Amino acid sequence: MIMNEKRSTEYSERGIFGLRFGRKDGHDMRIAIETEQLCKSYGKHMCVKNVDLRVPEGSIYGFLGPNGAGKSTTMKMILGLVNATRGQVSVFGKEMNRKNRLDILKQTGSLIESPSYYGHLTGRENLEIVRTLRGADKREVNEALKTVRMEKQQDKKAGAYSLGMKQRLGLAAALLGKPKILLLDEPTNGLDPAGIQEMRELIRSLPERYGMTVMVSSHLLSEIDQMATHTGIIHKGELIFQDSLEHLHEHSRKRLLLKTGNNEAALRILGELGCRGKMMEDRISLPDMEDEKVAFCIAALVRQDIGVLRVEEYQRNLEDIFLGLTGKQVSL
Amino acid sequence: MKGFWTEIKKIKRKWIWGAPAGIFLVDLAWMCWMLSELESGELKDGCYRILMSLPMINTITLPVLAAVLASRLCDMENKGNTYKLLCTLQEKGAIFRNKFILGGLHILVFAFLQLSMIVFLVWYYRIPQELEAEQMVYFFLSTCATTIVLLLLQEVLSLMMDNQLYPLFIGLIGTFVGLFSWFFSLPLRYLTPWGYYCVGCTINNIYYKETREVVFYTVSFSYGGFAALLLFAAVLYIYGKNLFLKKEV
Repeated sequence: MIMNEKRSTEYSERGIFGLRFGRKDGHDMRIAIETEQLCKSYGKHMCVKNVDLRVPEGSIYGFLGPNGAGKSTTMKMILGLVNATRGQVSVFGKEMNRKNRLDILKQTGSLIESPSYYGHLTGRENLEIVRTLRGADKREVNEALKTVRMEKQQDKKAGAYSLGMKQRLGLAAALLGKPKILLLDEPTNGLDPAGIQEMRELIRSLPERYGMTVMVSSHLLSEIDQMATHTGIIHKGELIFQDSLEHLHEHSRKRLLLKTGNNEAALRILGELGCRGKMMEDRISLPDMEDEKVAFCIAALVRQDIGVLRVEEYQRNLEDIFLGLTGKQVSL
Repeated sequence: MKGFWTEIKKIKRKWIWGAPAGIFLVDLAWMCWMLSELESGELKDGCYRILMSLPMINTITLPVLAAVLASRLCDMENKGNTYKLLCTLQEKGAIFRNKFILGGLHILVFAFLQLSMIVFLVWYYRIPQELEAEQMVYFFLSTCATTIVLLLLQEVLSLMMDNQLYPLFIGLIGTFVGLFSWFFSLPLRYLTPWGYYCVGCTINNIYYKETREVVFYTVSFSYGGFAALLLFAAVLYIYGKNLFLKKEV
C-alpha cells in the first residue's frame, strides 16, 4: 500500500460545519482519496467548485447530490478522465499527475455512468480484455464472474444483456486486478428493485470481503443511507457536507415545535429565558430540552398571557437535512 | 504490446477483414473483366495496363475501404462507452496508436494481396510482357502509403465523431475528389491525399488518334510527392493524436 505518512489525514480533524468525527475505537482513519480545491469549469460555467473530498480507507463513501450537481465530473477528475481546471487529487497520499496516473489507477476499479462493454463479445471475453490490460491473473475472471453472480451468462454476447446484467459486468470488470479503491457512479441506475437490492448488498460486502474502499455516487439519499458509512453531499458543484453517516444522523436530533397565540412575543420571552428558538412557518422551533424546562417555559408564556396552542416533538429525517443543506426540493 | 493484443481480441466476430476481402474480390473481378475484353494484340503491354488500371480502381475503392476499416475499429468503442474504462487502464495515446497499427496491418496485407493478384493475372492471361519488379515496388509503396494516410485521416474522424456516418460520407467524397484528381494538372494532384494513387502511378499512356493506338510508357516515381505524403502523414498523426488526447471522455 502506498502511504505517505505526512499526508495521511486524520479524518476526525476534517469536516464541514466544525464537526469532529473519528472512529469510535479511537483510531484515526487513513485517507484513501483526497482532493484539494478541485475545480472544473466549462467556459464560464463552474460545475465543480473547490471540492475537498476525504474518503477514509475501508469506508463506503456515499457521494450524494441531485442530478447535475457535479458528482460524475468529480469522479472523472479523480480518475484523470477529465482534466481539473484547478486543484489536486491524491490517492493513498500520492499526488496524481500525468506521469503516475496509470500506476495509481492500478489500485483503482471504476464504473462510471453507463457500463462499458463490447456488445459483439461475450461477458467473459469482455472481462478478458480488461484482465489483459490490467495484467491480472487469469483466475480472477472466474472469481469476478462468481462475485457478481454471472457464471451462467458469461458466454452470452454482452450486447444481448439486460441493463442490470451490463451493470454487473461493469462491476466485475472493475473488480479485476483486486483494486484497493472502487469508484462507482450511480451503479443502481436503471436496475429493477431486485437488481438494486442485489447491487447494494454486493457493494456493502466489498470492504469486508476484499478490504476495498468504495466511493459510490447516487442522487438517492435512501440508497446512500442503506449502503454508506461516510457521506459527502455535493450541490451545484460545492461540497456542502462531509462526514460519517453516523454524524449526519446526529443532525436529525429532536426539536420542539411550539405554536402560540403570539409567536413573535413568545420568541422574545423564550429568548430572555435562555431558550433560543427560531420561527418555522407558524411555529417556534426550539432545541430539545428536559421536561422540567419545557414546563417552565410554557408556564412563563402563560403568565405573560400568551396562549400555548400546541407543543410538538419534531425529529428531522435525512430527507429534511438534505433539503436543508441543498435548500431546494431535489430528487431523493 | 498488451494494448495491441487487446485490440486484436476486440475485433473477434467483427469481420473486419470482410471489407478488404470484399474489395479485393471486386478488384479481381474488375481486372478479369478488363483483361478478358482485350484483344490478343493488346496483351503485349498487359502489365502496364494492369499497373495503370489498378491505381485508378484503388482511387475509387480504397478511400471507402479506409473509411470502413477505421469506422469498424473505432465505432465499437463509441457504441460500448468504453473510453472511460480504457483510459483508466492504458494511455489514451496507446488506443490511438494501436488502432492505427491494426488498421495499417490490414492495409499492408491487402496491398500484398494486390501484388499477388497482379502476378496471378499475368500468369492466367498469359501476358507476354515482363513484369518489372521496380514498377511493382512503386505500385506497392504508392498503394500502401496513400491508403495508410487515408486510414489515419479516417481514424481521426471516427474517433472524434460519435456518428460514424459523417466519416464514411467524407470517405465517399474523398473517392470523387481522388477520381477527379486524375484529370488535374500535376501540381494540383499533390493537394489532396485521395489523389496520391495517381501521383504514385508510374505508368502513363498516350492515345494516337490517327492509328487509334494506345501507347503505354513509364514515368519516374514521384519521390517528392512521396515525401510530401509522408510529411502530411506525420503532421496528421501528431495533430490527430493530440486532438484525441484532448477529447474528454
